Amino acid sequence: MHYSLRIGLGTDSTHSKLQSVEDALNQYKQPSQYVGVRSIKSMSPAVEPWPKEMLFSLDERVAATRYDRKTSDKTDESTKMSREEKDEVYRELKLKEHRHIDRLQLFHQAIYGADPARQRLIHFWLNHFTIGSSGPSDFMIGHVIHDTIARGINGKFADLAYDITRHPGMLTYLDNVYNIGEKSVRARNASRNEQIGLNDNLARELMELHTTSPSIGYSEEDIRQAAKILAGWGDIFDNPKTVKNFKEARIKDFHLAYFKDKAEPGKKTVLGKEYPKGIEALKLLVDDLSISDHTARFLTRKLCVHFIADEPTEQDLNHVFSAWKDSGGDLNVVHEALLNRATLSTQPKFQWPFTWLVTVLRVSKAHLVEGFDNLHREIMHHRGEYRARALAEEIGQDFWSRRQPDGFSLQSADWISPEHFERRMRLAAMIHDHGKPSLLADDLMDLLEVSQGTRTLVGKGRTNRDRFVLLTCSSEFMGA
Amino acid sequence: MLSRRLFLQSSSASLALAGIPISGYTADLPKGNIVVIILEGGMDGLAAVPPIGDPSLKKQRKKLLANEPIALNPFFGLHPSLGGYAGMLADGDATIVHATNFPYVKRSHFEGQNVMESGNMLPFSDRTGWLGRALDFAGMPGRALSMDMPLIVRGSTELDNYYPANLTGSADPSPKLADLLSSDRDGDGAVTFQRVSTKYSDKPKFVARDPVSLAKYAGKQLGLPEGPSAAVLRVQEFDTHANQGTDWGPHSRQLTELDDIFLGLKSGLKAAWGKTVILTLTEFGRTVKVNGSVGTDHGYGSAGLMAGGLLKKGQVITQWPGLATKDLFEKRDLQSTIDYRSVCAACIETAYRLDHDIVAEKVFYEPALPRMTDKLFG
Repeated sequence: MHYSLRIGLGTDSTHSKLQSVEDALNQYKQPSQYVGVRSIKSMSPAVEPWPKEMLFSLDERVAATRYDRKTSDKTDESTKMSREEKDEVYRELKLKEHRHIDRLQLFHQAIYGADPARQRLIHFWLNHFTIGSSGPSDFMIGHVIHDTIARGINGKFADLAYDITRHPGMLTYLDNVYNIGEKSVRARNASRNEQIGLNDNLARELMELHTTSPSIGYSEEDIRQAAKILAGWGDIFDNPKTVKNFKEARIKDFHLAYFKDKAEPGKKTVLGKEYPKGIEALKLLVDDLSISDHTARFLTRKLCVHFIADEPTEQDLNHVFSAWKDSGGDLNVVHEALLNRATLSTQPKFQWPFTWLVTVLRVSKAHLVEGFDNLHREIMHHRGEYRARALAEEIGQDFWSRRQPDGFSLQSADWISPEHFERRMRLAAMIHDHGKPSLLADDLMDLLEVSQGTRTLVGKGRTNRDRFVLLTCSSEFMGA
Repeated sequence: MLSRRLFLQSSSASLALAGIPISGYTADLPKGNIVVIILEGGMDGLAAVPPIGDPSLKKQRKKLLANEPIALNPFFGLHPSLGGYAGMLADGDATIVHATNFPYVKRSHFEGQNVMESGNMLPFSDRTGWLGRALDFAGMPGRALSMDMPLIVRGSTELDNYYPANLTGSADPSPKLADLLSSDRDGDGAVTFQRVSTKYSDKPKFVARDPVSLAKYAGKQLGLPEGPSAAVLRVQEFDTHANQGTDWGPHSRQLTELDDIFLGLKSGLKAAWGKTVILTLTEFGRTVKVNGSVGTDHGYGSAGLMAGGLLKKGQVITQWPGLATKDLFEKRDLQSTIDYRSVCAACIETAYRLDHDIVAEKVFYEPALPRMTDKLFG
């Protein structure tokens, strides 16, 4: 297996030769332009800048979420609306399907972008800090990709972890919007019938899944205390007019959705360390969790498993761990160390279904995912089945699906089943039949510098189609 | 009309079938069936089967009690969404085990789910599942029906799965190509492509993917003379941290789905109902006290719902630990006084005719696991 599949998505920023280490490193260091194709109907669609109006700011996303919440409440609860009025509301809602646009953008950037190696990293971190679909978070996942992770992967892990923890998408997905201090102003002023108190969902996953892992040996009390620190980081989707202290919450950039009246007063102690009251405590806590050796070890392992092998060698692990420790979790340094080990490794590495799909499309220069101009028509006319969504769902890896916060498995055993393999064959044939690939199996074998064994296998195919399927589903291409 | 909110919340279910005998190979085996329904997220046993006779229940759970539970006996009620299941209890075809779980107390979904599927108390240490190992010992190779291969049925290398593709414009793979791809690799990968080849040698039928269709399909398949002997259904979203609901709401919706699955299985199984046992699994119960968002957090003990003609009678089996704060596990969770592994073991002993000691030692790695078979099965 050529390392270009391990570190990138086959071809490099030029789309014509294999991903090199130097080029991958350059991509790691800075974001590149968002691009896509307008329509896949033409023979050779041109790659163009991604339309600005299809990239949404956090403000726009918050506004859309509020609108969505308001209108869906209306349609749920009002029986007085006429059929026409309801249809109108649904039509407007359809226009606000940010998640479909975001999903399409993720596909296009991976297939057409000049930064495939960087995209691979983004997919990894998007999965590490999983935000699944759950109402408002649907609108937010795109922002986490374009803003929080895109910026965060060039900084300290601690800052990335902090930014995602207080991101409205995460606060919603892991229920922190319901986490209110038991001795907070809100709780003291609450009527007897109101149920108010802590919700430890985000606190638990922050420690278990995002930073230290259970290996650090935290107690239930540690989680409770962390939940107290998180209390107050709240729900910016409520109507500002109905929420007291909205102004006081200083919500200017929506990363500061901290509601003083919901915060737990007093000091807190997590893992033996004391934290002050107030908004500052969360940053201090995330910094302390991030700097722990347990976090370094946990994250090092995850990165190595994803990019190198199901069972990485001690040397691989130690190399990346040292980079993490020496740099204090500077992801630029960590990623470079990882890249170097991944390039050296000769072990096979199973590729995620999503990674495999975009790699096949990218290297063969095929077009199966709808162009951005066709998005609206797609949403309206395909009985809700949007092509990018159908593809993501059918390969079993949609980043906008409802799923658990531990994300998609990094272990090949969890992806090896007849149905998963059947999908690969089905999609490979579909790309050949409908995707108008510029490169067929023989060209691809030269490009990818495949082994003699793979050439022999592909040689057994009698048609171009069979050869295309055999190559893209070979053990060398799939990594298993 | 299905509202947008309901559409967003309608959950995905999946099904796996296993233990399909090789033709002629196991014809003389006394075949019973085990159906496991995995309730993912941590099912609230106190909401599903409220102990209405416990004086502490009202105090601890005021905001989350169903107003009109179905009375089972003076001490236990059943959530009103489980009406179909209540009928099975009345017919003597269902048993509830309460205040029970796998002895895992650390409240992590992911460790807990791994423990309940692997049957190994050390999380993430086993690559096989307890049902898969049981099928191996009973000499029954498997076939699964879901996109992924659930850990619980992994064990035998003979596993196959089936979850029909829904891709407009795609064609079924050619068995010949799958053979070639199989020859290109070793181990699991080779076996897996071999399964693809076998499958497309005779054309599979399409099954809808909603939970009730899956349950009916599972029941029918289990009822075939040479059909599978195990099925695993997965229902997600029992992790009700917020606005859990009472007679209605998210938790009630999940229970309705569960009720539909029980009914779907029964209608699909027909005569095979008599040699089947169905049981639920969940990684943990939920906190006894209501949390700050009218929901409940991760806990310990929960309830296990069982059904099927193999069961002895309609009953609730429990050693009730009490709900007063002093009686709770770590002062917050319902205790587990019955090791649920004993319940799983009893199902294996009865349906697959395996000896208790073998099941205890080889499937659950717990030679001293208490035997519950006589209480559950007659």
